[in-house]
Amino acid sequence: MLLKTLQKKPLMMCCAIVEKAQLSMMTRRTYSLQTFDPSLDPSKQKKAATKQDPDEPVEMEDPYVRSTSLIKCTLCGVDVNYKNAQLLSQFKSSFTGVVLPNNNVNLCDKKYKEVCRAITTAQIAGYLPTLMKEPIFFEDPYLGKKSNQ
Amino acid sequence: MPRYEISMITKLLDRNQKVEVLGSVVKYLMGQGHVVRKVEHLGDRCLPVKMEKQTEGSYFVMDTDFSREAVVDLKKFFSMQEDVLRSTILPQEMIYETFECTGDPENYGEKLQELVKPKPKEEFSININADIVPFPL
Repeated sequence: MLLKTLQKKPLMMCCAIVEKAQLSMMTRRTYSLQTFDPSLDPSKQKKAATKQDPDEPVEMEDPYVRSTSLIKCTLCGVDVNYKNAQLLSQFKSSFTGVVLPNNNVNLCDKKYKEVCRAITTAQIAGYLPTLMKEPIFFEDPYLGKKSNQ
Repeated sequence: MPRYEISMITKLLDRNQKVEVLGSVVKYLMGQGHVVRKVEHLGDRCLPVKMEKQTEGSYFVMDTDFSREAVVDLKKFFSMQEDVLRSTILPQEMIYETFECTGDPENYGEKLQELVKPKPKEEFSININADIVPFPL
């Protein structure tokens, strides 16, 4: 197409066409917003990161760890007997004298059965009361969850 | 012979009276042929339950050996005593057996392993009895 236009049109017009093409290249719209800057080299960025930036990650403990994995059975390695009334009365409620369920108390299934059996034998043998919790033991630490207190 | 544990609750007694009561009980047991290994005194305290209109008492524990047929006779003997308020006889296998603690409050380990096991798929099969012909020619 250019050869046909050059043959028909005079020389002055041919030069104008070439200059238009050069101008269009100069004023072409750039689709990338970034322009090349020597200061933004990736090799230079690593040297600037050695300083303490607030946007960088900080080393800390895992906050999303399940809290129950850190809790252990409270009676692990402790022998339960029907004669010590103070330890068994910690697993009774102070309002009604009823044995607390296993949801509120952090105990294994096996140790919870031992405690329930020891409480019934102590109530029959005369070491613990049945319908209440002795007021001497009210100040003992509470082993259940705070919401169900 | 199997081992038993006897826990005895009596009225509040002086030191001289305790010696008399314990002496009469142990003499009867030795006379019958039973074995007495240890006698302990746990102390005096306010009773948690009113027993025969008494509010204070003293506690004793005895470690003995005797046969299974003698349990009923011993209960009668303790009920005849005036000073003894309540007595219990328990086998030591029931009291001193211990379970191994797993450590976790929620024992999910055994239950999960049963669920994770791959179940065998039931193969589809048509039960054909070649002996029976429903639509014979």
